[in-house]
Amino acid sequence: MNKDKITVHYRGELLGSLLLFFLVQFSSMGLERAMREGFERTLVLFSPIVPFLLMVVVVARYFWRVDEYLRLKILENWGMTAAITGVLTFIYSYFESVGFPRLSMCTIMPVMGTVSALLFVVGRIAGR
Amino acid sequence: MHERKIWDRYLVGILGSLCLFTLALATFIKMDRHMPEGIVRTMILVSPLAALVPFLWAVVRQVRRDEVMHQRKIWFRYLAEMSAAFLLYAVVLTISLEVGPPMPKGILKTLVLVSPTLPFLLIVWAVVRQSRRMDEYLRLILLESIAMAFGITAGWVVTYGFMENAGYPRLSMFNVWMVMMSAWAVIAIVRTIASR
Repeated sequence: MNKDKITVHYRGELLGSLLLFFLVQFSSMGLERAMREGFERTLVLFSPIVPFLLMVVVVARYFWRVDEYLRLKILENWGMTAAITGVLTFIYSYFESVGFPRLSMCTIMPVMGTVSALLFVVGRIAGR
Repeated sequence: MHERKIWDRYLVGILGSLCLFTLALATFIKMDRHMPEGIVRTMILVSPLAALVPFLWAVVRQVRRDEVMHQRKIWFRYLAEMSAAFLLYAVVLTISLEVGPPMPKGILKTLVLVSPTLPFLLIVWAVVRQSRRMDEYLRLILLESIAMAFGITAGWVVTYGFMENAGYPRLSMFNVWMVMMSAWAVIAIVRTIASR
């Protein structure tokens, strides 16, 4: 398969799994309010992890299908995203000691996604 | 000495000192608040840092065994930069924790309590400088390890986010950093053992 086709497939799969994730997430949030404490409620609360794992599989598939150069670029992007997110969370932990509220762990994923997307855009602009 | 023996000794040194560090840290967290001021409390406070000394010694010994002069040079430079940045971080953290809490609320208190982030950025800078000094292959290995640690952290963060919905308490953001670094260390150790 050529490079463009792989990218089109990847974007389609990622968008589909992302939509599925949001669908399951909002459904589980709506359902759990009407449920009693117990194993079923926990299962409903954890159900969005399935489409999340699907997203992981989509990214992993893309990673193994692209050529060496793109794989290196992806690795660089992830490495820098990890470093920037690590630094941001570490700095925020000091703000917590001053009285800032403890945030949910769910806030980290959007931060990671935003940093990764920004790095991708900056890389594209710098590479022109 | 036989190469395998050298590696075994290195791994025992690294893992032993990490266990010692964890033990000293756990003792410090458990006992710190219950102990009166005095020499014993100070010793418990300093013990996690003291446990890092055998770790550093094991790494220095391993670097000294490297036959390539250039490699030896860049690793020693990295160790020196990292140790200096870490020491500065420990000093600034101690001062900010001593001076900050009794201060009246305001911008100055916030600045004093947030000040340890500056030497922390020096630690990150030391890692970035080292990655620039490395050759292509080692840089790729480093990138792969960080990317894997990133994946593990992302997975943990999402899982814990769902656990929060089920009633688990909100944790400090410091935990994200701890998980990321622990994952990186475990990956590095596993890859070192696997590459033998």
